[in-house]
Amino acid sequence: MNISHEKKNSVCVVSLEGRLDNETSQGFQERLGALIDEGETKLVVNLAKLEYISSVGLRAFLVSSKKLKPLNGKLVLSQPQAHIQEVFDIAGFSMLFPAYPSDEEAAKNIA
Amino acid sequence: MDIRLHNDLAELEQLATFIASAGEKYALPPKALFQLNLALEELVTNIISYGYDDKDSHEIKVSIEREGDELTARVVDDARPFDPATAPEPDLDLPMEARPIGGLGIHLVRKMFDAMTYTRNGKYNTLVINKNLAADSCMDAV
Repeated sequence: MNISHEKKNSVCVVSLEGRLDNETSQGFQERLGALIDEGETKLVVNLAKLEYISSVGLRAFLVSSKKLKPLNGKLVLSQPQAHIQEVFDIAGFSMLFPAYPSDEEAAKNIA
Repeated sequence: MDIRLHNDLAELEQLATFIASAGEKYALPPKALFQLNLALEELVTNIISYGYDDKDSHEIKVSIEREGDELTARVVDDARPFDPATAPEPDLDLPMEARPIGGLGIHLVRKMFDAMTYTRNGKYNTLVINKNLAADSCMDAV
């Protein structure tokens, strides 16, 4: 699992590569938590290279979202692969975490 | 084919390797392989994390078979009786702040597979999940 992040204007783009599973989700959750603590409240998570997600991965998104709520922050997705989007859909997470076809599009919707 | 795992979350890596080789052996389509991975990870994680009343070593047997278009996975364990097939559905309409953290794993498995059958024999739980590879049952939920 590779996690990188990049500041684009007022938005922080976090890119994931690999698997969000039992082994890696905690690290991802902590990384997002740290970014939020540093003041990043507009987050775009790029999922183009995310191959796998299970419910622990979804939980990391939910925890971060709860943390962003009182800060009026927002977390959206960009470029999820179809099978990953389907997990968000089935879990009922699509309305909590809207997905966009590009980082720019995503950024526009939270700026 | 089958594999025997111990009740240790570190064993999930071995499970993933096993599923990958089953995927090759049975020439599973990428999406079905992904769903199988997800389902077995969810089920085995639940067993290891919440299934045992003691701290002893336990064995969990996982098997995967394909006959024609029918994919079948079976999990046998000696954890406390638990029937995921009748576990309550999470409320997906709750606002974000009211969502319980967790409880989604079984829901994902139920939606991605066509059938889930639970039996308890003596001290063993057996859970069988089936999926017809010709039909895309995954979109039923949408």
